[in-house]
Amino acid sequence: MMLNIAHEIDEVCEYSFLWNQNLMAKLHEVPKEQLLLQNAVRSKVEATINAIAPDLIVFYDHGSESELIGADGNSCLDTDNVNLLSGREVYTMACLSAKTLGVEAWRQGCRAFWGYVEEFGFTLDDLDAFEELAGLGLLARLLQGMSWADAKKQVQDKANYLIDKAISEGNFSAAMLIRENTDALRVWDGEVPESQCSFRNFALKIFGRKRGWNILGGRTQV
Amino acid sequence: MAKMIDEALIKAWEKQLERYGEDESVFFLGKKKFTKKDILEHLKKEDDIGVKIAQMSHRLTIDLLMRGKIRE
Repeated sequence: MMLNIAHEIDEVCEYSFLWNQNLMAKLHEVPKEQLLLQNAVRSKVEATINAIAPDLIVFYDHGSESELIGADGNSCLDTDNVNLLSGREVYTMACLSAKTLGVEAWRQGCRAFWGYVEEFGFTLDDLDAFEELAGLGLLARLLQGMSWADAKKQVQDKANYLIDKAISEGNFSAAMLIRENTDALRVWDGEVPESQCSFRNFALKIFGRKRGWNILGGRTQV
Repeated sequence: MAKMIDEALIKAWEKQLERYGEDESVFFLGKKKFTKKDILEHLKKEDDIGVKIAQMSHRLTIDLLMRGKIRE
């Protein structure tokens, strides 16, 4: 079961909401529950996750380093209820959320967190390319049965193709943002989060990925 | 103070502006919305947004060089 969460809190989300609904139409055979528009708020997100126990959560809206933002402008998933992501997979195009929330989710048993460590950008003059790249990983995973790591590789290859196409058309601003988004894409599953902490790096070297990330305990220390 | 942002980048944005015009040139970064004209102003002012755009442009150039799509 998939839980899809999307809303239109502002002008940017009007585009991402449309992308999300187009993506869901392509995934029409995948069993899903949806929390859309005003229903995309923390209380309903928490209740729905507890009620349907989704294997996969898709979130198409704004985020910050430590949260995914709901339709009321407040956090609907963050480091305080990140335990809800344990044992599940998360796919989001929200800005920045792979940076702290994704790492914390992964540490607490989230099976995979697909997201971005920088702001997600797009231009209106190459909108289709951005929509395609935002959803391609999920399609590769669900329709082609790829691993998340292979799905990411597919997105990177497609991004290179679309960058070259944008450049050949003289649209370097679109090419620049495609490059930026793709470089900011992380999937905490096949990859190990980077750490700037020398103790953490030592622990990762000695104890391996999962134990190394958990051995120092406490909140995410990247 | 030395210019941080290459004049060639500013010229390239001016060309983008000429090519695409204002109506279709909207650019979103996170929650922020810019026109290409706004970006050009940020580049000229060399403020935080201008520097960020210059860095992104630099990373694209490196990517194109490394993949053999352009020559130095």
